[in-house]
Amino acid sequence: MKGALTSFRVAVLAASLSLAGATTASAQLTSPETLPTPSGNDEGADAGDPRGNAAGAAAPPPASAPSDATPGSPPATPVTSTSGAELDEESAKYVADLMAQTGGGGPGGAAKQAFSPSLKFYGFADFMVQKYILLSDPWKGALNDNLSFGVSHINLYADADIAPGWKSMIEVRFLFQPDGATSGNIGHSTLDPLATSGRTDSATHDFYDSSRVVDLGGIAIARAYVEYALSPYLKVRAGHFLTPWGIWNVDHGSPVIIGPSKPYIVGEQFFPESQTGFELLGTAPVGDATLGYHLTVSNGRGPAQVLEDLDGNKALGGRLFLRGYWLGQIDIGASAYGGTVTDRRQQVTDLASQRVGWFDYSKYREISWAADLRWLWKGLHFQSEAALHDRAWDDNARPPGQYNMGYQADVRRLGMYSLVGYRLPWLNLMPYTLFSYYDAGLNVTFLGAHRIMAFAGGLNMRVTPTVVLKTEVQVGKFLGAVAGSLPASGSVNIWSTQIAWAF
Amino acid sequence: MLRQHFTAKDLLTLLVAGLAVAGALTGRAHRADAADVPLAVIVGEATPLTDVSKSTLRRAFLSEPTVEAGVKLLPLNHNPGTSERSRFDSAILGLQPDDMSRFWIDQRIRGQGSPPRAIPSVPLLGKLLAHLPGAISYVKATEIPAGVKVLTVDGRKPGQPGYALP
Repeated sequence: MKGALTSFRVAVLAASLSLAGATTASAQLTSPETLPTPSGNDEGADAGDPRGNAAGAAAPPPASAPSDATPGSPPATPVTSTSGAELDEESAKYVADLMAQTGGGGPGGAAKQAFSPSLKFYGFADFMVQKYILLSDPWKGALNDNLSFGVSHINLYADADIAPGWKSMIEVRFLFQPDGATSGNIGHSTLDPLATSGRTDSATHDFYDSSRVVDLGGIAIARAYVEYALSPYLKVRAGHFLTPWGIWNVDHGSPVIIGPSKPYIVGEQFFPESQTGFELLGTAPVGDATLGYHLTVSNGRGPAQVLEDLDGNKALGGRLFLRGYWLGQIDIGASAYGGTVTDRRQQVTDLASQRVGWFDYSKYREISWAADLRWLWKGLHFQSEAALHDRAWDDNARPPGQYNMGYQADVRRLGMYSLVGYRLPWLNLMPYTLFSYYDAGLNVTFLGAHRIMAFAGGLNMRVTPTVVLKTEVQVGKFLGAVAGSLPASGSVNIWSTQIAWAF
Repeated sequence: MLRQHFTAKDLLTLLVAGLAVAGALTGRAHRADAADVPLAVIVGEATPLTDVSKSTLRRAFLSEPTVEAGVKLLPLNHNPGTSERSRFDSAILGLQPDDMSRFWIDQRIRGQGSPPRAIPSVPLLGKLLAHLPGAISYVKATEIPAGVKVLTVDGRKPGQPGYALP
């Protein structure tokens, strides 16, 4: 078995190196600065060009011409220059496009006349290879320690400039789940596995394919907002946005983050991953540094958080950060969030009239705090986040505890992680280590322990700017586990390898 | 077989020699860049600026909103892979071409901005700067197009000791 695993590792390594060599060799061709753009222009386009159609190296007439960007849109209006001189057609197109991009020319001016909406699609995806390793027998019974493959992310962005100063951003994650995912009734399945598999089955019969079985996946909407730039220093977003806290939650895309798995404080959502409401944000220079801010008001968390607020308390949050370039780049930030989480339900209050009324089934107040630091200097990458989350239940709406034992307790969770890596000059390799600590506050969280420390070591290889290979071994050790409990039987160790790509 | 022909010492010698060659090549490339004509930061004549700081240039070319003398700056780049672009990115942003591509890919995934527009030729760049107040770019100091003016960077002219650009 050990030999087979070793052979497998060698094969994966060989395949990785082979892939790395091949992709490195073609890096010049696939550089993100030459990515194809929605308008079909791929000549020298800067990655992420706001119009998705940056000018090419030898691309006259300009690839950025709005008429090229949006088939069927009216041609760019020739723009009279600010100096009064007439411009040739090529320059006029550029000027019009750039003015539209910046909102120049004043309200109703040249920018407005020249503007034509643009839309571009891009995103990221990743493929994971995972295996629990060196588990104790009790853990082998609890976890599936077979080598597994899976596509964990397929995130598609639709990014549009819809009017001068207005931007739309939609990010959708496509999932193969829920089919096959562990369902909520895992407890029942272990007691009666013949009756309950413990897994979700979303298979249905495809009417157009002789009613053969087809597995249905899911869609998670990560972001969907409209943004307006009120001034260079103030933007307003309305919709569904990522909570601006710390580093990892905003980085969030697998090509960006260094390792294949999240630290506990991020995965356990000390802050909500995303919110629905309004966000104010901006940056301003402070000496040689940049000061940035985010303020959010949202429905907060709850069983219907993306649809409605089930209590009268809006969740408030914010983040302040300072970015300086004193020794490389240093970002220091602090975040806070507070809200009320309410599960408000309806019941018949008068049988005779069938009148219904609301009651709070569960309700708690939550407050989260976090601090973060990122330091990038030459090849060095250091980042660390610490967070605290308090949950205080309303005694009139304190639901039963897990397994219907007692009632939910007030709890304080805290945790941190630190990641240190160094990008070597060879093959864009970055060896890194990640230390993560999490105190869940309640023993029930880990069935006999409430604190865990995880040590991870791995390699991140940016094969090209758009392709990343990662491999990591993580050892999770439980602290203060109750004797005889599952956590007391040993550590949980996992080997993960991921290929992530941006497109 | 391999073990009979190469000892650990041989491999170490090869490694050191390889690194030395790589270092020498890098050094040569660096000297070649340094021997180039210095870059000059330019704006249209209508833009009310005479000087710009290195930190302002960094903000502008990292696509952070930047206002100088009441004008919002509109950074215009050279195409990736050009000598001007590589030298500017390295000196002002501290990023090599590969780092730069990685940086913008990451920013795009975060949803935190897009790179400045790249303009394919110096004559076109000159026309755009001349007609767009706030537009700012850089060219070799010997290739200043008509209708633009050269800014000092932190009070220094191109070629002066301590000038921020190579």
